[in-house]
Amino acid sequence: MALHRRRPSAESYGHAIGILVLETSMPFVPGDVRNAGTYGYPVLYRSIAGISRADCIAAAPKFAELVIAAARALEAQGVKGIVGDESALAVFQDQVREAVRVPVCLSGLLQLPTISRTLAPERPIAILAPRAADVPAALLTRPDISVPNPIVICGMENQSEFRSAVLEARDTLDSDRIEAEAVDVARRLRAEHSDLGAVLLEGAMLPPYARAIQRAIDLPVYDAVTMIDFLQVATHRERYIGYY
Amino acid sequence: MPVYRTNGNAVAGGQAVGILLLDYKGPFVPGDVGNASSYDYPVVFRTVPKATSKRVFAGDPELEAAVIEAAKALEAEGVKGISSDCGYFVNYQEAVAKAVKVPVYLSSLLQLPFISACIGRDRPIGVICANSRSLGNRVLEMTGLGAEREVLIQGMQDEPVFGSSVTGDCLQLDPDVIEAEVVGVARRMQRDRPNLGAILIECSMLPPYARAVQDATGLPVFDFLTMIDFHEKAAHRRSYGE
Repeated sequence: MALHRRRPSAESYGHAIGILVLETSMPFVPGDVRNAGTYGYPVLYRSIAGISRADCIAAAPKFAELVIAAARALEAQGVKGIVGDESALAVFQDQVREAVRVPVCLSGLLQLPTISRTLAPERPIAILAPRAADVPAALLTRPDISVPNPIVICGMENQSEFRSAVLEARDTLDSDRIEAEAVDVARRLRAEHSDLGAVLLEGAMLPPYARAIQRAIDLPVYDAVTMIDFLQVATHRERYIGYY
Repeated sequence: MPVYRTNGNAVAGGQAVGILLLDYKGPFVPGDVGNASSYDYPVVFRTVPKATSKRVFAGDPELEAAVIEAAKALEAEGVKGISSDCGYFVNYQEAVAKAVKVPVYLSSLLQLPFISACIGRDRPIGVICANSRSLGNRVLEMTGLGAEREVLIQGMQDEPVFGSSVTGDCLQLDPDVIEAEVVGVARRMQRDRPNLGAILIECSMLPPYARAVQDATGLPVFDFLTMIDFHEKAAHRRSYGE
């Protein structure tokens, strides 16, 4: 064992990834970014007090300070990467990455260039979001997100269980029904775009349905969890102990 | 359980990722892209006939048909993604991506745009490759990385053991010695540029030393295996616990 140092601001040790979360409340099912059991490693959550989704969209500088303070607190605890639970936090990506020394990924959309390069440029990539409006055009034209492939954006806002449980923040959520709704939306996407190359699920609450979507349409499915896993692997390399 | 169909093109079922290999017979130690035990899932290898490193480095157009044929054969076996054991296969990236339906990621450099997005604007990315003389801006441009990001490229060609053994045809390889060489290169990069933001190990023979490089520098370390693991997970989504 190597020498370990005390970190005065750390309440507990060994958290791989820090996750910034807004003060929203609903059932966070396994596979959701806000369910700790989603990960094969420990994560640390930190609420950003006093900031709403609408505040993020407004991106007022005082909110940036709150987000940066929360990110610094996570870094001081020892996490090796910082992510967020809410696509609206993406507006703070540049400010937060300048404020800490660990890599920062506040939007699953940051995976788009990496996905795009694996496909022929004419094959569409579908983004399935809680609401289609969650994927603002301004975000897709960021130089580190924009890609040559056609982007098809589709929302879950017209699905009855998803709308009432997630978008209207009910206290219960029927994940089987949402899974059926998500699979239905994905099947339609695939039918309308026969050359679809990949699906990217936007937001924190759709990853639980990634497997069902993949089984229905047989395409690669990326989301916040594939990104967080990627970040965790690169920041916690393991030795290879293999065969001959 | 879904219904499974006979696949006459496959020797065995269940191969997750297909990996194109150079026509090269080096020892591939655990952690090397060419070692099956580097992965937590089954992979299938396919050598591209006559794909010498020299021809692949140069992007020899006469080799393109053979690369595509090998990729199509892997796809026919049922793999859900295609990678390679030499970053210079990126010369064929577009041609192969057009020829098959599954995702194609032939070079670890394709991770550069993602790495660049998540670290501070002024922090350089350090790339460690086998031979920095053959890795130029042309190859970096193929990755889609924006020109404003500084990339430091450091080759292993002048390291006594790696330079003399691996870049030629070698019969044996001592990973401990090479680890010390790679760690030395990474340490020097960070010493020269303390603001280094991440390291990308480009060469497919160097992931065995990623952990040692990370221990020495404290930086995120990406390489072929982080990329292959990433795309494999997206192509084979698992259930989350109840």
